Amino acid sequence: MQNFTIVFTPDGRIGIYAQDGTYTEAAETISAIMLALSIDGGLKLDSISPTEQHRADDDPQHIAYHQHQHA
Amino acid sequence: MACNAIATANATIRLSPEQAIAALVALAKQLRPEHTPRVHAVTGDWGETMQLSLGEILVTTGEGDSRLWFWHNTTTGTTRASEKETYSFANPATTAQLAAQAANALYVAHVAQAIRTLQQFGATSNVKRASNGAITLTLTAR
Repeated sequence: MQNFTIVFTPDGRIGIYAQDGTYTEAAETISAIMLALSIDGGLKLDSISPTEQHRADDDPQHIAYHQHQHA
Repeated sequence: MACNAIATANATIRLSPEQAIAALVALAKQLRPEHTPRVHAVTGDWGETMQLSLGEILVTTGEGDSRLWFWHNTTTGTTRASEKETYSFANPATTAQLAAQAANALYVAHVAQAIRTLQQFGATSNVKRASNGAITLTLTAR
């Protein structure tokens, strides 16, 4: 099981965030959720951003690691 | 690869015309419970006097000077409102209040619709509304 935080703002934006598990799993689920919202949910989705990873590295210098994948 | 990370994606969502109509009709019933709301157009082209744009929805309720008018553009997601038949918005304060109420009704409707869809992925919990109006919830995926 994996936890996601979903944020809806009054101007119609939706943000989906995963804070545990693996990036690959999270990205797949986020993409599936976005697709479901658009198709099953009957909500028109505009300007979907790519799924993005922000990972604080374990080393002391906290080098940021980013990976981009189209949702 | 395990991650103490955050995977994110963002989008802007709009309601379908049917969902927007349902939300505005519910609001109109709440504001004028003694009247039956009317839906005048869903595709525009309804005459020059109403100044409907293509894709605009018009929901009205009430009679005479107490009649309420809500225009919603499903393409842009914007909503305008008036308490008068005229397009001049004679009372800006009331107009702004009505527009805010309509926008809130549409917002709540799209969140509710989204939550119903999210439930196919797992359980939703911790639904909270912040002071700025943003609604946050947790989805525990199966």
